[in-house]
Amino acid sequence: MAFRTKENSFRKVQLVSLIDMIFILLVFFMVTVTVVRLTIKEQKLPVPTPISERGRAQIVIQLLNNGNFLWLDDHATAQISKVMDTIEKNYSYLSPSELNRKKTEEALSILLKKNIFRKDQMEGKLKHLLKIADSDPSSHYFVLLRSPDEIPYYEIINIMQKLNSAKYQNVLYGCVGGRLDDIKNSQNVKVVIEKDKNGRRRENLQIDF
Amino acid sequence: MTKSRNKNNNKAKIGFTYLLVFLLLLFFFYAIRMILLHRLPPDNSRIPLTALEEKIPIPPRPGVQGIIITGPVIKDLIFQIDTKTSQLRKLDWRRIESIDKTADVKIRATVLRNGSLEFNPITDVISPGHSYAGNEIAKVVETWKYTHYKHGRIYFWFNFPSSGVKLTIDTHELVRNEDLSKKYFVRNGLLFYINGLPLSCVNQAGRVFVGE
Repeated sequence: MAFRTKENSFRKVQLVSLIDMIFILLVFFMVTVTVVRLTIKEQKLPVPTPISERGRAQIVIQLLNNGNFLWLDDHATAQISKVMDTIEKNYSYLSPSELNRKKTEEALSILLKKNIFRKDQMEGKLKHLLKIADSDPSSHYFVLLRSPDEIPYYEIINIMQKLNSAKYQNVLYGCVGGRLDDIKNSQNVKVVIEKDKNGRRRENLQIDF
Repeated sequence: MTKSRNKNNNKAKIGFTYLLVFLLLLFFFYAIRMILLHRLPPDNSRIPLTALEEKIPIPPRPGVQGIIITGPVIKDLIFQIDTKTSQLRKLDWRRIESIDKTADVKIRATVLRNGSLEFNPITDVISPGHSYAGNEIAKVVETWKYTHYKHGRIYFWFNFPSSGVKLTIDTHELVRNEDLSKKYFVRNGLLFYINGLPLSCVNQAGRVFVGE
């Protein structure tokens, strides 16, 4: 009987997987190795910076340390606009810089007298804003929330939660640190007429810190 | 059997060759990198310890340097007939046309700063031979009052026999009131209060020549 001798099993090296591994290693090292700078000139990385340092919003809420808050919206703008017109008529004899100073003083006095509300009025104000936003899905509101560092975080979170409850998510908000003193000590308050993206002319209230 | 063994051997040789080539490629890649790194000045190849102390200037966030609160839309003011006036009377065009088809009446009036119309029914109403039509029209027109955005001379020409424009209103002598804020634009609206006259027969921007 001729038995076939078992061949010594030749240990085959699995070449396919080896080639795959080599490829992977090659690609890995090529991608992760740092880029060698061939020129001596330093490369400048573009750092995104805000185009305007002024915050633009439909509503500005400045929280105060005593729990009250300053609420500035288009009503405040309309109030200030009337005052500015009156001052321009009555004080036309003043030089432009003096007229500007007079306007700023009057505007600030009105803003701080008529637009500061108590803590318990916040809920009502936010409800009213949400009611207006919910009645018109195409409208968009941006609320700039300014608060000093001492305000507990949960108070800000509460306001943000309420603003989030807009039915059509058309109320956005942004938070930034700031104090009432920034507004009080403003050297330049003016009403600026601008055209919005729909071509309508709007009166915007500009307060520079 | 020898043939298959030879085949396997060849495959193994090819495999090892590939492996060698790839390893050589890797080696060369690293070698070139090392050489290039060595050629760079020391600053560019290593981050000095002092660099860690440098502070990156943080750009100011929006709302830190100032705020702009979007205000109300500025609506244009419209100089037009003030329909809220209680004594306002409508001119019945068809009635006057039925009585006097050939009536040709011109009125020279002044719009006062409060919007009311002022004219002398004898000297400022010119209607030769059509006294009835002239009187009727004058009685109605003197009740017309406008929104108080403009003042000045205004002329009306009621031309009944015309086949085209039957009413011409001349407003080129009207000027904007000075007490209005400059931010408002003043546009002309409907300047007449007439029943039975199609808009296509009216020219509100025409010229009317009235003898002095």
